[in-house]
Amino acid sequence: MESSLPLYVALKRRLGKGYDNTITKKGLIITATFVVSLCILWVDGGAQAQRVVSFTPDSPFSIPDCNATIHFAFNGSYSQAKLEDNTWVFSNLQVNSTRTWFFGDWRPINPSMVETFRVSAKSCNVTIISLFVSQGQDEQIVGNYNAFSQRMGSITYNVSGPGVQSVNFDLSPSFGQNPRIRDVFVMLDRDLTGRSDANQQSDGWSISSDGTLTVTGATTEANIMCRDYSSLLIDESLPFHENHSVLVVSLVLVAGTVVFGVIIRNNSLKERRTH
Amino acid sequence: MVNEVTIVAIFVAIVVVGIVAILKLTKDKTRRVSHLRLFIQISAVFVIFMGLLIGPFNDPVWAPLGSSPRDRLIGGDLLGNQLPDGISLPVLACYMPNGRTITCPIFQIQASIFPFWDASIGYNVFYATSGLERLVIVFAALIFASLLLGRFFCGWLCPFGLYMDLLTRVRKVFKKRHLNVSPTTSKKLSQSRYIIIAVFLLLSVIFGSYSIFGTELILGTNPTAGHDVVHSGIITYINEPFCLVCPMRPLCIGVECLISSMNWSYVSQIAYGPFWIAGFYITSINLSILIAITVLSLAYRRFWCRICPLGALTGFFSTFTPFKQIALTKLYKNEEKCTKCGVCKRVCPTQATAVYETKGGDVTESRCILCARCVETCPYETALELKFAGKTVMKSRNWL
Repeated sequence: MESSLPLYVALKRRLGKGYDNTITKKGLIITATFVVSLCILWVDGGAQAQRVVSFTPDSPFSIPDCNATIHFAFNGSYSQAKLEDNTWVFSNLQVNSTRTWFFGDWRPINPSMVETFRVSAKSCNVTIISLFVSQGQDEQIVGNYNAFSQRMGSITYNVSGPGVQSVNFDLSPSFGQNPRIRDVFVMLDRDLTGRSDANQQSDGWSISSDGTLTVTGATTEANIMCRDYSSLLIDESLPFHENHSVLVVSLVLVAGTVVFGVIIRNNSLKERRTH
Repeated sequence: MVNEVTIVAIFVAIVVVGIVAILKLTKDKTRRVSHLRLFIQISAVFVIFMGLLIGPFNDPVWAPLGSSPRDRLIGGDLLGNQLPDGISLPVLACYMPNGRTITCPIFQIQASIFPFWDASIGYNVFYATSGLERLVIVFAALIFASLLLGRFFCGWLCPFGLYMDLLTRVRKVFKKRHLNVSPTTSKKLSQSRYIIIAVFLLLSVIFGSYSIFGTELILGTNPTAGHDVVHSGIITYINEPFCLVCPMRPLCIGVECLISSMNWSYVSQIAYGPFWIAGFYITSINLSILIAITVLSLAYRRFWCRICPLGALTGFFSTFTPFKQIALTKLYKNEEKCTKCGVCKRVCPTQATAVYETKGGDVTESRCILCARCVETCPYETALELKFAGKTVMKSRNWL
């Protein structure tokens, strides 16, 4: 039965001798190379997958020099976590947090990825309750409220012990430098069921030029929300008429109407004189 | 986008068919223009609050700039995203919270004062351009619109004018005659508009002093003071002083709640601020003024229009020298054909007397809302004409 013959024999019968030769020599080499490459890729992929490290609420991120420990209250993973200058720097942090704090309200969220997140503590233990960072408008959390914000970061954490905590959402390079393009809302040790007033800057928190928020006034809980508008600024490299198109159009319309009005008026006056 | 264009195309077709139908089918010559005006006023409401028709819906605050259908239709893509407050036209169209298509210039003037010099975050809105630039744009739009149509906006397009006219119709249902204020009071009311607008603009400048002069003239106007009520209370809660007293705001929000475009709980639940505030969107002053104006308008025709500060601005840029010389929409009186019968004076809803008193030629009075009721009811052929750019678009006819 032809169907019971090996595949290459059947192909040889259909395609001739050349095909058989290829199978036996070059084909074998190519196939072997291909298979080996696949294996290497698979192993490498496995290695990549192995680099994603999961964590649980029990996983401690200690900062021994500062006598502090950081925990997450939810499960998650990261591709890299390193302690640099007593600051934990997480890369590709997968956050399985189910809610986030947004202007005094808790909003449900889906698991999200935080590209780079820096967190540090000194003389206290921190438990991160929720964490959310969006590099664009995220309607699932903010609906249309965040209409004019391109990037935002929100974190809520519990603190035990008087100490200092710092977080950096890595929103944009200018976030920490220009107060006009940012909106930072910090509430420390407050009852979140009502809309209490937020803490002013220097009243328990501060921001540095690299965008790191340092909290010194929290003893039980801190809620931080940042919005970054830098991407909405005018591109100064564009010509004036492109950056200020509405202004130009408005002034042209007024000038055009004035000219038109003067012409109409002159014509009317001429007409009346003629009559 | 196709759906939105389809909606707009259908809407335009309905308006055109409606106008033609009214002109053809209304037999009573003294009512034809009134019917047409009512139809255009209602149509204008849909245009002004287009955002309510094409979404987003049930949103208590603001739509994503540049991404909502209204932005794509009106300027988001056409002019760049520099109109976060919508297009400024001289009609009382409230910005809060979903009416960003076309918004009241008084709101925009107040909103432009802070931040004044720099592009920055305004009242929960990010502005890519400085307040000064936006102020120039608002005034340019106001002057352009006023020169083009003048107070025609008040008579034919303003949603609050429609509300006034509907109240007049309600009164007529009960067969009650309207009341008139004395000529002296009418003039004083007219003059009070300028005082009202001056006071609120001055208040805006005082409240925005930190962003203009770099120092706070009164306590509570420092926007950098965070959410501390003492130092930033005014700038946080009463940043747009006129909007806190404007009767259009509760009306807009009430209608939005009625058509389920806004969740009523946002009005009823949120209550904070230094004033007694019935909700974040409606203040007690808003409500009181709306009720007062409603009652007064049942007795006196177009009562709000007699004291409207926006009408004062539009009137200023269309009926005062040098603007009146080049304004394109005007009433024209033919002296030879006028018999001084006084019909024009009696039917005028704002008790403007210039049409009656002017001897002939162009009639320019800031109280006149160009509703053309006088043109419609004047029984002498071409004694009164409504002209646009020197061409007659409407004239009185012998209907006797």
